[in-house]
Amino acid sequence: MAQTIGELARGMQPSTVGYRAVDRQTLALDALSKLTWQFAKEPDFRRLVDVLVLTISGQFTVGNAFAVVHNPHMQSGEPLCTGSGKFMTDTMPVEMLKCPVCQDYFLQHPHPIRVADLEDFHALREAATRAYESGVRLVTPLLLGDRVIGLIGLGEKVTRKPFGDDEVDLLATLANTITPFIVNSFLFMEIASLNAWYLDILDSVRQGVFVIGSDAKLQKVNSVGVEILKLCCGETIDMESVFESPLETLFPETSFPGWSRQFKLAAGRRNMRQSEHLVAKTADSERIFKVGFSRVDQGDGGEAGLVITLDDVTAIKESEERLFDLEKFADKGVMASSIAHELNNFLGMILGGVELTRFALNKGNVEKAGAALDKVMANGERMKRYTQGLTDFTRLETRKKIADINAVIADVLSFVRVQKKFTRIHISTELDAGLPQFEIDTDQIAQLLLNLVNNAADAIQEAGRDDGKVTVVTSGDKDSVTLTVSDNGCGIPPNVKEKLFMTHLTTKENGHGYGLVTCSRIIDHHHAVVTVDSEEGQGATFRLQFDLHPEEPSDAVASDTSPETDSFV
Amino acid sequence: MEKTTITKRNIADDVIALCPGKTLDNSNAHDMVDAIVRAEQSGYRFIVVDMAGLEFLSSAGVGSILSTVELLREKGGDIVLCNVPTSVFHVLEVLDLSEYLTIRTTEEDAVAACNG
Repeated sequence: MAQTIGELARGMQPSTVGYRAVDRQTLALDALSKLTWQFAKEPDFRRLVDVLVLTISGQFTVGNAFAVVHNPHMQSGEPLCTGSGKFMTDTMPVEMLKCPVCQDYFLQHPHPIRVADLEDFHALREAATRAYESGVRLVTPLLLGDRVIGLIGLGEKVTRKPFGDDEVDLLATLANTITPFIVNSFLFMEIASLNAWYLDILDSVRQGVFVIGSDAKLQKVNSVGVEILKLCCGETIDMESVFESPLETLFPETSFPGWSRQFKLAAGRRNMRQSEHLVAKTADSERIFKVGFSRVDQGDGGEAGLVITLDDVTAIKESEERLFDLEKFADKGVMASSIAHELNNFLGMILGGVELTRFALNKGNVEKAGAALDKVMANGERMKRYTQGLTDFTRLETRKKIADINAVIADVLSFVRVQKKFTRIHISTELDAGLPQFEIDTDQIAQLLLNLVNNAADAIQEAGRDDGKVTVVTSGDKDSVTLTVSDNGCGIPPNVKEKLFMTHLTTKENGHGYGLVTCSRIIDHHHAVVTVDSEEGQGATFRLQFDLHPEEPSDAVASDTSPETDSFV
Repeated sequence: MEKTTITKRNIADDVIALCPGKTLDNSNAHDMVDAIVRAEQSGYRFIVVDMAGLEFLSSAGVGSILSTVELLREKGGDIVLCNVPTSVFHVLEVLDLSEYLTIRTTEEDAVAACNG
């Protein structure tokens, strides 16, 4: 098809009479450009097409004009139409547009047709000719490549003068210029639509999502994120100003103590922690959020930003706290039975000693009575140490303090060793005397150790071993302290190892499954990392690494790459 | 699309003011054309279109003015726009219509333009 747009426009023109020699091409294109940008601020197909008619109406001073346009990016769908004056339409369907060109042509051709398709093109020209009767004086196609994506039509000029050749050319030039505008504007609107879709996705996430730019300022936030900010900073927060705000402003110290510092530390880490728990203060309570970080990397390796997710886990944490307390009570219930048993043992030995003493005195054997009293004293001392050990780690209050973890271990084991459960198990220790003291909750560490050695004893019993061994080892340096508890019990099957720290997991007939959940909580409280080495039938080793500087970047997380090793933070 | 009603006021012997409200678009452009044509048929030579409060002017709105302005001018009258908001004036300006159409700042100025 060798025809130019101008030829097409002339060919389709119902009547070309007269001449208007005004070179307004620059003005017309400038007007179109300005109006397109003005209306692009509010993406709307109808308004976009209306801009074309508006521009034409102004530039050609016509009261009656129309435009019908296919979306060039869509394979099908209603063409967009708008008109003014005689060709005005107040509803979308093409048949409502009072122009035969549209009715004859677009209803028959729901897709953009090729100009090369002469038969259809002649039909278009005939329709344009018939349109003269309904007031159309000038029609030009909108061409994208070799396809007609729309039509522009003009009615009579307000001066009732005929259109000149220059105006025909101007209309053709406008049409030629408008087409890329249309294509770009459709793309712009599709980008806006994609952006809206992207925001819809963000809004469907139950976590608060904050997208931070490489300049550390907020770029996007989803609706849950907005609610979090309102909850913690008050309903009066100015959502317009939070964008382009630095992290310190977005998460102010008053509501989010220490948060922005944590975020900046996280942004500097290579391995980001995914389970940081941070506390935010609302007007009347505190909320706990599980914080996740994801760095957005650019293709060239540069950093494009940071995505922060905040999951309100207040209810879960409260539930865990209750569970934690319940676990303590449950442990104490189990322990009470064991304690009663042990105390009965001691009492039995003491009463037996007293009886032996009385018997010896009745016989006048003072020497034998003295030896019996020595045994009473020795059992009394053992009972005292036992009860002392009990009181040291069964307190309900929890608090962290600088303490010697070796002393806690020694206390716990002194109590554990005398229990019947451990009478056939050899408990050995290799405690590093040079360990630095660090901040621990001694109660919780005691409970953690008790759980681990109890589990070890159960595993040994399940394996049916007579040579059961439990080894407790400590080691460390200036950055970390490691506590290792090993046993030669039945080991942990792989499928159980994967779920070790899940609630209600138990492999014991009478187990409640809370023990390792409690351990997990304690480990979490101490910013520790636990690794589990185990081979079924060969025992198990729990290794806990306490980071002595938990706020500093650490790459030590899950550094053990053994296939038989699982890490839990 | 919410339709806004065209209101009419006599502001001089042969001058009537028409006010389109918030929008002048497909929803009420026909009404505007009808109001202008009826006013002209009733003997008004001058029509003042009071654009105070106008937020959106579509191609149909522009068309309603352009398609009727010559009707009045042929008889020695005119359509005079007044109280044109900046955004609407900007549209008329880029369309190169600010010279073609008669535009005045206030209603008093518009009436004065009709009288003189």
